[in-house]
Amino acid sequence: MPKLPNIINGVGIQKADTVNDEVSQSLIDGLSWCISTGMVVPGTLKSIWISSASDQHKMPSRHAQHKAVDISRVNGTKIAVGYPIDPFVRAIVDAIQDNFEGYVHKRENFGPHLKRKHGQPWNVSGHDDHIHLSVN
Amino acid sequence: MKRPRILTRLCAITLLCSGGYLAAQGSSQVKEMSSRPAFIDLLKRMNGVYHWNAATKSYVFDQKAELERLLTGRDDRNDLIELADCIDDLQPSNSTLNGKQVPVGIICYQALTQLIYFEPTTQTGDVAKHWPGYIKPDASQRQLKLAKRAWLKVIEAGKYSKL
Repeated sequence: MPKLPNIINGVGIQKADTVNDEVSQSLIDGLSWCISTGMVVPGTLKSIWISSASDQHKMPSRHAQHKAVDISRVNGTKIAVGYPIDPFVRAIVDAIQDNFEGYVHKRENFGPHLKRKHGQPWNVSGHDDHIHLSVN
Repeated sequence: MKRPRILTRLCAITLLCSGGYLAAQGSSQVKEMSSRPAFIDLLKRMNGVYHWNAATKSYVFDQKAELERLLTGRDDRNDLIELADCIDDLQPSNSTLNGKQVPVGIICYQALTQLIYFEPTTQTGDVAKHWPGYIKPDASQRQLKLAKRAWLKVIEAGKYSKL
């Protein structure tokens, strides 16, 4: 099982101490698909914070299946705090979610900007404070 | 200064126990422990406003950044339990929604959800659509009670993630 790299497309992948970073290759490919340092102009995406990968979850959770990841901070700012008030944080979050919609193995894409499953609008509670991405 | 883990567990949020412990400790710990109930009062006194936010399609607390500052270093298990335990507190806070004071429990919920989150799961492994722990600032008394119960259960089971 591969591990989440420390850098993807120049973006630092920071992980909470509790994170088990063993994830499926298709999930890593999904992150590679949707993040890069220059994904929003102006500004530079320097880092994302992984608050959860295959940890703190039990089967059959997609996290426990190593097929889901949660992103809760952008360049060190909590999405929960920055998204409503910081245009850069909002632009990055929106771009990550929009880009993930173009990934062929996408499954769930829940966050402040979009709530979609299999590319279709999906009603789900929470997720104004982080992005949950999962793959098939 | 961190409290010894074993003592923290024993004391939990029981103030009586904390008081006994404090008598034998230095002033810095007295300040830390005695500030626990005061923290809820601090939340109660915040002059925040919930505004409709078109980007999030939800009501957003306009004092998130200030709240974040207040929450620094307050994310251990006892802090989380204290906040969750307060969610059904109906005392009016200084913060408002549509010109009306919201219960202090809403501000406690606001604080808690700037620290942690929970993803309920269906039998297929996907994220569940609904969970009673997630509420809006105009939540009913019943919704507040259900939210409190849901969060306490998650915190006690250690099933949450820190933001």
